[in-house]
Amino acid sequence: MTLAGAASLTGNGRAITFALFIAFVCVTLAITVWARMHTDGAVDFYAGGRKFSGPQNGLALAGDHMSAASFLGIAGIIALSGYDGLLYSVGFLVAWLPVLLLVELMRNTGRFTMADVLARRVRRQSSVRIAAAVSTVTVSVFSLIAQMVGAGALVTLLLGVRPGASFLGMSAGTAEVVTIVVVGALMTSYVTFGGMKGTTWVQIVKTALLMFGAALMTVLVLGRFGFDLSRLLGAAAGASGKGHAFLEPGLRYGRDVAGHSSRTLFDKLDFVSLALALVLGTAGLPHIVTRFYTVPDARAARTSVNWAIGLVGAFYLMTIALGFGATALVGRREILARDPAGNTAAPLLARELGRHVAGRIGGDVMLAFVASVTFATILAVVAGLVMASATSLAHDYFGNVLMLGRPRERQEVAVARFAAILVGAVAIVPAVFARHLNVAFLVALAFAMAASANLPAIVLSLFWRRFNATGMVAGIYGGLAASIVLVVFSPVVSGKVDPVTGQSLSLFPKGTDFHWFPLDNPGLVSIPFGFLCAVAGTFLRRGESDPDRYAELSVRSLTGAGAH
Amino acid sequence: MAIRNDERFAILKGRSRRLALIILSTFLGWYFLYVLAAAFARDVMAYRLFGNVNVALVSGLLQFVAVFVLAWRYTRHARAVLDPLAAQIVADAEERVDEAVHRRAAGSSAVSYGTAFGDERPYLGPTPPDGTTSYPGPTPPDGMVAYPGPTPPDGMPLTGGTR
Repeated sequence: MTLAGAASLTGNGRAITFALFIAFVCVTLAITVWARMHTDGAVDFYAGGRKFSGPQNGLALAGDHMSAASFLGIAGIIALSGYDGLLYSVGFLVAWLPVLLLVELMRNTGRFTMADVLARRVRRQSSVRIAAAVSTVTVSVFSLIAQMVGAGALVTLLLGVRPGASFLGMSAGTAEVVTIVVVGALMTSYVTFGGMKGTTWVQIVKTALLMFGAALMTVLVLGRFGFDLSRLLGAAAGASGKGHAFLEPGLRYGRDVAGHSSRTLFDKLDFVSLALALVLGTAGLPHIVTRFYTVPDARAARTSVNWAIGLVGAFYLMTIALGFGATALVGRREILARDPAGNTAAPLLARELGRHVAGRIGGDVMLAFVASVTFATILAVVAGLVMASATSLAHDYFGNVLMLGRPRERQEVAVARFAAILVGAVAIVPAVFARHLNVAFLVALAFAMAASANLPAIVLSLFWRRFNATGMVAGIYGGLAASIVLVVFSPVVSGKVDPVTGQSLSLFPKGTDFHWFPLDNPGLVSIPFGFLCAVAGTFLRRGESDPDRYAELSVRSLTGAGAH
Repeated sequence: MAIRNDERFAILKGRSRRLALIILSTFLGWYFLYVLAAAFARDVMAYRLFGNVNVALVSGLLQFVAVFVLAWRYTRHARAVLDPLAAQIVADAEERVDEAVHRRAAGSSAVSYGTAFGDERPYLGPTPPDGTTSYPGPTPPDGMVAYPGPTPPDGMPLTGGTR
């Protein structure tokens, strides 16, 4: 990620930011220690003892969903591309409706992971458990790498470590590596020691901070425009240099390329593909699914999803004001100059708002606050992802495959703690090496993988009488492979060149071009392909189908009889 | 009689599926209408309604409203119709288990929890009391060995789950 200039935190600002970082780390470590003392056994470790209330779990669910990519990222996209940022955030919100429709059924039939639901449909679990663990870990590790690379870039950016300058004696490059390693080590310790209890409370604290920060900034922005939305939009359109096109779709997604009707069509299909993956992916994300099991029953799980919908919806509504506000008050050019991806739009806006209220110090304080909220967000989201992978590795693979479903509980929890360290290490190393690459596409890829591999298995398990083990395995591997292969041969990996600057917009440098798949986002093809594999696999071994187990699963899923 | 053979369970299943389908088709239709309009009907989206507020912005905000309304409708219906029905079905099934346990304590033959819930392997005994058939399916699939222990397998609820 190129950091052209920095968001210039200097002197005071840096000290305040640093103090707030440390304060947050201390609070979360205290939570972790508390959680460690109150964690005893698998239900505590994997599911926080199933004692969280609906609203608490709703805060945590919303927190798992709102990464730094959605706070800084969406505000940034709105600030730079206007309306298309709103279009993007709508996809993230609508995605919660499929979650709402599935949550009770999954809560009633599973114990800790998605694989628990699938395993109820089959006689021999091993292959299904392994497939589910593979897809869980793959999805989580890809998102982890994206989060940690982003964390490195963001923190150095927010702390204002310029390339060439130094911070606490470190150059920008070292500071990035140190950030990645520190974030990785911290979140691994949250999970290893705190388990689901620790992770959930960290998530709750973070969501509260994030919502408070966003609400404060929204009120300040709207106040500057006399609480008149139309005036805010007008000012944003004026300052964007794009006029009214800024308030209409098409600056970022589905661009019209004059004279190239096929490219225009692919651009638009690419956008539809992204929308599809966003909407269907959330319900299959492992770190969201493991959260269904931290509440006492299905009713509480439903309440928590409703809370998450309210919080996430309110949050994205606020980012609209923040994004347009950043354009109007800071200016598109200035934001672009700091970071071409627009990630500094929200921090710059915070400084501008603070400065307007309380002068220079006010600006420093607001910027420091937003920077630390971002840091908290990254830590909490990363911890959630590690938690999901560790749970799947220990519960699905170790407990139900290696130990044939009869592990000693202590043993399984110990393995989960170890797995957290392993996953942390596995994510830190590539993140350090990939820190200069543009890995933002990994987030979209994770959604596409979740929608193509996990969702078919979940939905067909719950609703299709004939679905069987072969179908599950085929669907999971087929969907996973399709999304990865399509992305490798897509323009995000090779062959996309900026028409204006001539620089490579892909992972590989200019000159390398082996792409044949025209879309950036694989969802439009890989999601139907995942479903197709699942159905084909089922018909391949018809004899395996077990209608009796389907009847049992329906009873459990709908009535909650026998739920854990 | 097992839950799965309970007429009311068929009703519950039908109602819950219908509700899910209605919600699903409504939001997918509405959302993709919006996405396709943003991609292919830009003139319509650019139409200005008042001030700087155009159709694009209003339809974007309406997506938020739709999500909130659909979530609220789903929850209201689930609470009013599905939850009570599910609770009733489970409660009746539990009652049947309790009665059977009672009889067993009084010296009759062993109980099959499986028969009451229809979702678990038969518990112990060869024949359940008073002539109800033990297992609704043809034969229990293999791997469903009778559970030897005194407690029902796999967290079977004696006190029951709620929906």
